[in-house]
Amino acid sequence: MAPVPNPPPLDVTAAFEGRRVLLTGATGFVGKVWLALAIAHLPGLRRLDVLLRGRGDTTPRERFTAMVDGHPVFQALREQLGEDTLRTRLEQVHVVDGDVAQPHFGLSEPHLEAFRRDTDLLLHCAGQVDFFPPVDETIRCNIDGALHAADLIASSDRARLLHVSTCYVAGNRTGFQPEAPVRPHTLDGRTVDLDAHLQEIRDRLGLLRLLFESPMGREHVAERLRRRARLKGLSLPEEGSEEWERQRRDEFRKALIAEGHRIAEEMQHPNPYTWSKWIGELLVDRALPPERRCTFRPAIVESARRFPMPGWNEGFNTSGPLIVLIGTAYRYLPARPDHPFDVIPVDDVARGMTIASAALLEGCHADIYQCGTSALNRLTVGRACELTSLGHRIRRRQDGTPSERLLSHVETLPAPPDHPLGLPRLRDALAWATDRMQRAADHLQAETGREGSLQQQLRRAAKRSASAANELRKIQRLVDVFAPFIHDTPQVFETEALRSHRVKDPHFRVDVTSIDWRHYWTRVHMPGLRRWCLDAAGTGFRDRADAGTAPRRENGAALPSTQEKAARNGAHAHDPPSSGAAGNGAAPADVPPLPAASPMRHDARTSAPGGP
Amino acid sequence: MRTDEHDPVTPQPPPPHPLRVAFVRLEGVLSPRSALAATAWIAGNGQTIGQRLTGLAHAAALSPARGLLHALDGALTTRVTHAALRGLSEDRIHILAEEYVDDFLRPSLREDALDRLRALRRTHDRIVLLAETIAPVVESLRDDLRGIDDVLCNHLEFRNGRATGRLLEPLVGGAATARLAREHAATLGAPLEHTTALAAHAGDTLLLAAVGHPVAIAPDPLLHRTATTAGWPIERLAD
Repeated sequence: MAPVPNPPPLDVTAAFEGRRVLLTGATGFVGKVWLALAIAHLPGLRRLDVLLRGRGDTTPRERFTAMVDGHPVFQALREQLGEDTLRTRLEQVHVVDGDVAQPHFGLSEPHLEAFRRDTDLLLHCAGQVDFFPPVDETIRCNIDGALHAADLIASSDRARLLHVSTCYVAGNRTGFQPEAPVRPHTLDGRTVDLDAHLQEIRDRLGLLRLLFESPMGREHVAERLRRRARLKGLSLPEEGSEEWERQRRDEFRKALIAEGHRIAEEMQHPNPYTWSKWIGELLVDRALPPERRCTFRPAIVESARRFPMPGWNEGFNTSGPLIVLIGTAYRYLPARPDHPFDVIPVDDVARGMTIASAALLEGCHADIYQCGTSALNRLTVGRACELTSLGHRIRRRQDGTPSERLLSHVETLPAPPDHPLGLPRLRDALAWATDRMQRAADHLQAETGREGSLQQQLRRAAKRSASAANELRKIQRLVDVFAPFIHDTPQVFETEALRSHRVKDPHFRVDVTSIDWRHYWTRVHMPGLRRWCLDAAGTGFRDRADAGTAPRRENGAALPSTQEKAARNGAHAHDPPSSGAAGNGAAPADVPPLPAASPMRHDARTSAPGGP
Repeated sequence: MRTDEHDPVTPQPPPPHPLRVAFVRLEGVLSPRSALAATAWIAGNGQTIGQRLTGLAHAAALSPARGLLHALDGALTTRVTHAALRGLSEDRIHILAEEYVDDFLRPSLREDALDRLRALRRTHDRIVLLAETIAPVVESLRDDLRGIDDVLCNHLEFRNGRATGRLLEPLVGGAATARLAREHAATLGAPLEHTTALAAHAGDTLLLAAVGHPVAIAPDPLLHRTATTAGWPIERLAD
C-alpha cells in the first residue's frame, strides 16, 4: 500500500482504544521498551497478550512476573506511574505460552481461537539478532517466525501484522534505500526462487547434520579435536564422554555458523541476520495482502533518549564493541569518515512502531516504515569516532586513572584499511618482531649453550609481541564484522512514511531531527552503555560508580559480564535467547571443511544493528 | 548569547532614570586568563597529532607579541588568535570548552571581581559581559555568571561541522569591542554617559573612552598609563 499523500492527523491513543494486541519478543530490547510504552501511554488497550516461551523450569508467566518485578525498565515505569497505576495497567496484560518458531506460534487451541476471532494486531517483534548465530537458529526465529506470523494473520478474522524487520534488508546495496518492499533479487541481478532457495538451505543443513553423524564425519571431527588438543597442549577428553560430545556439538555449531555466513555471502548480504530478515519480509509480503500487514524497519537500535529512562540499553549492540575498541590505544579504525552510522534510539523506535501500528489499525498505513536517522539527521562514522573519543575523555576526567587519562589523548581515527599503521601492517610487524626475537634467543642459546637472562628477556618480549598480535587478530575480527556498517556499504534510509503521519499525541511523536548527537552520544548513550551493558573490568569502560548496579535479567540473575560475552564472541539474542552453549569464537578456519565451506572474511559474531 | 536569569517574566515599566548599563570584560577583569589561553588549550587538544602541533605552534608564535599586537590592532589579533582552531570539529570545541572552563577558567575567576559584579548589579539595570573568547567557553561558564544579563562574545564560523578558523561578525576585540558596546547600548536605549565599563587591557582603551564611567581594573601597564592620564578610576584586585 503506497503512503497516503496527505493523511489526516493520526490519533494514536484512539487507534488503540478497545483493541486487542498480541506482542512477540517482549523480553527483547525493543519489545520490552514497546511493552513499557504501551503500558504507560496506551491505557485504552482492551487486552495486550504477550507471547512468551517457558525457559527450563520457568513458566512464561513466571518469566513475565520476574521481568515486571525486577527489570530496570519496569522499575523506571513503576517510578513514573506509581505502583497502583502500574498494577492496574498490568491487569490488561496477559501472558500467552507460545514460541514463534512453532506453527501458529504453538498456541493452544483456545488461544488460537481467541486470536482468530478477537485480536486486532500482531506486533511481531521477536527475532534472532546475532550477526553470526548457527544458521538453523536464525531460520527458526527470523524466517519460520515470520512465516508463522503471516499464517496466523491469514487464518484470523481481522488481525493485522506489524512485522519488525531491519533497514539492513537492503543487504550490500549502497546509496539511498527507499521505503519499498524487498524484491527477490540479489544485488548482481539473480532472481531468487524463494521456495527453492529455502528448500536448498534446509537440504544443506540436513546434509550437514547427516555428515556430522556419519562414521566418516565423526572420525573427521574426532581428528580435528585431537589435533587441536595437541596444538594447544590440552588433555583430550575420552571419546564418547560428555565432554567429548560437548566439543563435538560445538564443532557442529561452528559449522552451522559458517554455513550461515556462506549463505549470506552468496545472497550478497553482510550477515545471516540481514539475509534472514530479507527472506522473512519476502515471505510476509507474499502471504498477506498489503491492507493486512506492514513492515517496520529500524536501523541500528541504541540507547533510549528519554523513555523508559535516558541511556537505557540492553546487550552489546553494534556501537558497543566499537566504543570499547575506540577506548583502547588502538588508533586506526578501518572506516570511512563520511559513512553514515544510522543509529536510532530505542524509544524513537518504540514510538515509531506505535505510530505504524496505529496507522495499520486505522487502515492508513504505508507498506514499509523505515526508522533511522541517516536521511534527516545523519551521524557519520567519523563523527561517531570523534564523539566516542571525547566521551571516553569526559568519563576519564571524572574517574579515570592517570594512565587512562593519558590514553584519552590517543584518539582513534577512521582510516583506510590499507593505512601504513593499520591492523594488517601492525600484525605483520609484530609477527616479524616475534620471529626475530625468538630466533635471536635460539641463536644466543646455541652460541652460549645456556639460557641466560638476555635470552629470557628476548623470549618474554617475543611472548608479549605474540600476545599483542593475537589481540590485533581479535580486533581484526571485530572490525570485519562491523565493516558493512562503517566502511563497506554506505546506505541512507528513507524515513518519509513515519513523517507523513501527523501524530496528535506528543508521547508518540518521532522527531529524529531533534537528536543532538553530541549530547546523545557523550551524555546519554555512552554512559548508558557503561551503566547497563559494559560491566566488565578490562574494557577500559567501567563506570565505578555503577559497579554495584550490574544489570540483571528479568529473573533477577545478574547479566553476563562483558568478558563473559566476549567469551561468547558478543553473542546476543534478545528473544528468543540463543539456545545451548554459544560458540567459543573460533575462527572459521577451525570450522570443519564440510559441504562447500567457503573461505570467510567475517569470523566473529556479534549482535545485529537493527530489528528487535 | 543572552542569559536571562534577571529578565522579568512579565514586562516591567521602564526605570524612572535613564537605563544604566555596565560592560564587564571577562578577560583581565573576571579572570586573568586570556582568550589565547583558551584557544591554545583547545587547539592543543586536536584530534590528530598534526592538529595539536599546528595549534600549539600557532599559539606559541603568537604568544610573545600578543600584548603589543593587541594594543596595535585588537581585532586583527583576535582573528589571528582564533585561526588556531581551524579544522577542529564543533563537537570537539564544545566539549573541550567545558573541560577548559572546569579545569582552568572557573578556578581562575577572581572572587573580588565577582563581588564587584554583584555591586554593579545593585546600581545598574543591565550587566553585559564582553568576552573575546568563543561562545562555547562562555556558555560553559554560564552558571558562574549569575547577574549577567547579556553576553557579547566571539562566534566561530563552522562549515560541515568544522571550524573554518574565521570569526563571525560582530567581533569582540580591540576597536571592534567599543563599537559593539556602543551599538548594544543603543539597542538597549542606554545613554553612553550613564554607562559603565570595566576593563583591564590596553586593547580596551577605546571601550573605556566611549563610556561615561570607565573603570580600569587591575590594568596592564599601558592601560594604567592611559587611565592615569585620562583620570579614569583604577581599581586593584586582591588576587
